[in-house]
Amino acid sequence: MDKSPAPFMILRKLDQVFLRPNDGTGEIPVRLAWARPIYDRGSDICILNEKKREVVMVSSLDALDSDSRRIAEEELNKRYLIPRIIRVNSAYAHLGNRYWHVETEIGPRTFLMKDPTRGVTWITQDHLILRDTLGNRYELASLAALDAFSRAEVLKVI
Amino acid sequence: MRKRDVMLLKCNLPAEILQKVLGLLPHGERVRYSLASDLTLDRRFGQSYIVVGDTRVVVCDSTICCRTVDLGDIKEVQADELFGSGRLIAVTTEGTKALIYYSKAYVPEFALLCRVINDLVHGRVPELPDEHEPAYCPKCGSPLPERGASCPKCLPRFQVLMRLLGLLKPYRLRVTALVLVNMVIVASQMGPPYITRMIVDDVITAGNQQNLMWWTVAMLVLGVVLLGSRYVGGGLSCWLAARLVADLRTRMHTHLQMLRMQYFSRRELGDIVARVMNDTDELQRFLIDGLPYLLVNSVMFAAIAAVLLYSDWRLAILVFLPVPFLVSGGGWFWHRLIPMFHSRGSRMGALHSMLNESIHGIRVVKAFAQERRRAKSFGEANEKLFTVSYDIDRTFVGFSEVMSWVMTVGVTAVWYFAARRVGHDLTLGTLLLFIGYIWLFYGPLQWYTVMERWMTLAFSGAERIFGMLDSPREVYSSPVVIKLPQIRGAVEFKDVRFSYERGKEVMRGISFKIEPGEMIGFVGKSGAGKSTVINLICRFYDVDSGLITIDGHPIKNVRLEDLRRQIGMVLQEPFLFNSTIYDNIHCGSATATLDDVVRAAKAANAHEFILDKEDGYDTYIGEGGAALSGGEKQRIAIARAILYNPPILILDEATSSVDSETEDAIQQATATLISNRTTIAIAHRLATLKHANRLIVIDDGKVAEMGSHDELMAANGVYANLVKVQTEMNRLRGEVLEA
Repeated sequence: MDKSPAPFMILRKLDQVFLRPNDGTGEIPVRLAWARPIYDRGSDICILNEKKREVVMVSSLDALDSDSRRIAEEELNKRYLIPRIIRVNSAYAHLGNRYWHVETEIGPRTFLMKDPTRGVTWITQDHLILRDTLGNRYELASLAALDAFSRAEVLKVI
Repeated sequence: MRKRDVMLLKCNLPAEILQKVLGLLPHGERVRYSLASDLTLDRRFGQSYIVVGDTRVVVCDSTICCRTVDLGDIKEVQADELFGSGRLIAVTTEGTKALIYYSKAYVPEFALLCRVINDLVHGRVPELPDEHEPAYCPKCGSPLPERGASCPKCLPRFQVLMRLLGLLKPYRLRVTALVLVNMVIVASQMGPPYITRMIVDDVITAGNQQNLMWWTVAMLVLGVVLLGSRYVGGGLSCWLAARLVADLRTRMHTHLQMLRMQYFSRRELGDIVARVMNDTDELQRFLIDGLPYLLVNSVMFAAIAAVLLYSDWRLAILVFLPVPFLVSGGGWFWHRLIPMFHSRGSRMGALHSMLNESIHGIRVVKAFAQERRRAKSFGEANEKLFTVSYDIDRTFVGFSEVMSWVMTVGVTAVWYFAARRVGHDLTLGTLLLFIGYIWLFYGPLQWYTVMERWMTLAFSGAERIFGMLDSPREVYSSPVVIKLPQIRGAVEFKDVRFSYERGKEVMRGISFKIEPGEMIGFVGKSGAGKSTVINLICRFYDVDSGLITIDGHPIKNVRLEDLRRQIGMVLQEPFLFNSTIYDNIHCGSATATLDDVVRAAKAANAHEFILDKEDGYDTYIGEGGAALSGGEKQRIAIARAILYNPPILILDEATSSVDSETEDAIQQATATLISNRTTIAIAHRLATLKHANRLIVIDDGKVAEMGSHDELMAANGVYANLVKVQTEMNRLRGEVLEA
């Protein structure tokens, strides 16, 4: 993976992102994707063309110029919705289903998880990604940083 | 969002939103479709709304921030799948605009709206589906375990119980007998303390020695009656439970065979098997052990309470005092234990899965020298299981001991207060009656909470079973469908659109015509939609829009059995039943004789290898044909199709997994099979389609090209490109082999 400054710019026209190579060849519509959105968000970004083929992969947003970086960050934020849980109001099991009532950084949410072995990804012993039955994700960035009540509720169901 | 709202794509717009929207629509324009999302325009959890008018699309959220796009400016609307959410984007004359964001909970609804807007944009009349599977319970708003499933929180226990009892109708005599026997059990259990009282008061204290014999005989008789009634009651409940569950399993299996393919495509095999086996097991256990326990102990509890109150109301109240502690204590302990049980289940599941992987993947583990790493992971998972198992046992022991102690306190209190009254206003016999009943009274109380949970579990299992039994079956016959006569084999697709999952259209307006007796090859990349064509011809799924006809009859209007009886298939992975080779070929035609089977096997180039087996046609092939090679399995499948003799034959990658020599044998067999019938073949190896009259190239859910091999090569398009790639691959492979 090339770590030198990226030989292209990222532009936005309305809600579509484009890649413009510095060599003057035409710009192409692209979409951005983290290579490892669960385990290592923040590095290794793939830029794909409309046919979902990789155009280029950059190791970090730092490789982009400031405008490109801003657009890339906005685009990645739009593409990846993993709300961070800040409080667990209640979590309980009922007939094998785990019901979660949580406060996230983007508002309150209720979701259901069937099987914690499939629904919980342990990034570390403290950092979890939860996946509900519909495919929505939620991040528990630090179990230890949660208040005692929330932590106890989480540990009841995972 | 209510079911009807989504079906009609008309949600209840809040007054202020409606007012704003009407202001943004051209004057006099009506709201044709509207849908609510669970994400606001700045992608926070909250409501936003998309409204489609006659000429304009308006999007608003609760902050009344709005955006509009004219339908006339839209080239196409796309449902863009993102990570953890989705969005509708409009490709307009100016560029691409994001219209609205939604979480994964509303993907199907927005996919439907996307289709509707595209239909409007392209001047088509939108077709709305009849069914909708919501992600949230329409009654309580809780998320559902799966779309369209019943809500575990709104479990209609009474209805489930009534339905279960309805299943027992044919066995009503046995059910009545069981209830009567249980009453006898209650009476027999309550008898001995009463007889003890009579022996003490009447025989020992009053000196009526002549009655001793009668009371002793009564005690013995009650013992025998109890023994007999328990035996008969146990037998009856076992029979009824086993019968009920056997009936249910048969019904479920029969129903499963007739369910629509969508039912299977959206569920994991393990879940379906668990429903048929585990849920019925759970129900059976409850019906054998739980229900009689609940019945007997509830009646006994009421009867003992009545006898105690009648015998001495003051002592009875003393006995009742620990009841709240026993019930609430039981509840408290179970409340603590249940999450631990769940946790143990999950950890046990993880361990099972790890063990399974270690054994199934032993070659990979060894090849990559992963033995120590796997052992370490297993050890850690096992340690987690140990911790929770130990916690459960420790809590359980504590629970039992505390409950025993509370009961002992009740008994001690009775001794303490009653003993002082003996000889005054209480007889010794009455005291012993109380002591005798107190254990019968207290014992079941601590288990009522677990019984309640057990009943809920069994009922939810029953509810899931009924859910499966209520799932819509394929329409095999109805007054509107017609009998399909013997067909010639003409197949036509007219602008067919289809998606397995709403929002992910795999067929985007496909049209073609196949003449009777033609051999057509479908070509395209993996995932292009080739196998979907076959699924739709067989009507395993219904199209979203468009029309498929066979000999001019729309397949939606013909009897399913008539349709499928005239289509034969040879699949890439032929499914063979765990039976003999003869049975597997013979199932192609129930009336075939041995001669017919042998003729078919010969035509399929299978006869020789079958005879080479020790048991010939009687060879058991094992589960999934485990005792046969890939080529052998394929040739048996071809023999089966030959015997079936269908006017339309489908070959789906029939030779993709065999070596060249076997492929030759299969090709010869196939040549026999395809003569005089419409044949539709799919193959990655383009050389295997050399017999095809025409080739249809599918790309990205559309027909990209159509024509003979020569025509398509001359066109130098997608097909020519595929041929070039394969030729190059074959050349390279040849070079490697030579080297």
